[in-house]
Amino acid sequence: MRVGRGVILLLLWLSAPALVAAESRIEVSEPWARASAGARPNGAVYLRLIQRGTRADRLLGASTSVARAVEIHESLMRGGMMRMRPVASLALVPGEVVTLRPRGWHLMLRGLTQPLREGQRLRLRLEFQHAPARDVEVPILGVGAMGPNGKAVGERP
Amino acid sequence: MRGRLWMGLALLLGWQTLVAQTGFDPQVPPWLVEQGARFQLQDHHGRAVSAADYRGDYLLIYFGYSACPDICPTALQTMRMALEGVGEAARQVQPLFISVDSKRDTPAVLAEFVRFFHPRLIGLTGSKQQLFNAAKHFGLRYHTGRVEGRYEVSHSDNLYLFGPAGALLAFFPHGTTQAELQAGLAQHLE
Repeated sequence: MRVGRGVILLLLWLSAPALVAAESRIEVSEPWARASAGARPNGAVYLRLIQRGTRADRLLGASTSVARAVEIHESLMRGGMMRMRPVASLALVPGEVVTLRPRGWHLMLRGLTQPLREGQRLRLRLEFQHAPARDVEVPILGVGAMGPNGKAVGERP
Repeated sequence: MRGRLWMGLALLLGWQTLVAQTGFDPQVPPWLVEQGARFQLQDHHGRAVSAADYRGDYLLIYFGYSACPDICPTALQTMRMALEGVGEAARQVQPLFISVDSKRDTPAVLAEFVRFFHPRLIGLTGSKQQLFNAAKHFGLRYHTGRVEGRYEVSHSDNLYLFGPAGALLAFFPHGTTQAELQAGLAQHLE
C-alpha cells in the first residue's frame, strides 16, 4: 500500500510539467493561393491562423517546393504608394484570429519555379516558434480570386 | 485636446477648399482635370500610343506592375467585376493598365499578363522617362529599385475615368470598393 502511494506521487510529480505548461496548438484554415497570370515571378498565399492552445507563439516563416523563398508580407499604403513590408514573424496570441487576406497580410512566394495553375494545389510548410512545423495543402484559385469559395475572407455580410 | 480639434477642423476646411477648386480629391492635380489624360507609351503589341489615340472611348486607367502578387490582381479584379456589373455600357470603356515597372514589363510580358483580367484590357509600358512623364501628369508617385537587396516596386492604387472627349470624369482612390466603382461607372456611362 505504501509503495502504491509512492508510485502515484512519483507519477504526479513527473506529469506535473505537462499539466501546467502552456501548449501551442495552431489551427490553420481556409488556405488558398492566387493563380499566376502567366509566368509571373511571385505569388501569394492567404490563410487563417488561430492559436487554440494557451501559449503565445509566432509564425516564423514557410517554405514550398514551388518557390525559392516564402516571406511574410503586409501590403500597406504609405505616402500615396502601396508597398509590401516584409516582417520576420507574425504573433499568434491565444484566442486571437489572424487572417491573411488580399490587400492585408499574405505569404509571398518569391521566385516561383513554376506558374501557379488554377485548380491545382501546392504544399506549404509553416514553421512556428513553438508549435511543430505544419504541412498545409493549398488550393490554387483564379487570378482574380478574393477569397475561398468566391467570398472575401473576413468580410462580414 | 481642443487645439487638436481646431487643427483637425482647419485641415478639413483646407481640404474642402482644395476639393472645391477642381471638384476632385486633392490627390488629383489641377492640370489633369484641365488637360485630361496625357501619355506617350507603348501598348502590349509594341505600338507607340498616346492618350489621343483612345479619344472616343471612355478610359479607365490603373497604374501598377505585372509582378505584383497582391494589390494589382485585386485592383484589376475589382475593375473587371465593376465593368461586368454595368453590363452593355462597359463596351464604351477601354481599360488600361499602365506599368510603372519599365525594367521588367516589356510589351510581351504585359501581353501575357493583361489577358487574364479582361478581354479588352490593354497593357501600356514605356521608357523610364515616358513613365515618369505619365505619372507626373497624373500627379502620382511610384518607386522602383532595390530595397535591402531586393528589387521592389511601390505604386499608387487609384483608378481614373476619362470621358470620350478626354475630360477626367471620376477619380477612385485606394480603398474604393467594387460597388462604389460600379456606381461611379454607371453614373458616367451613357
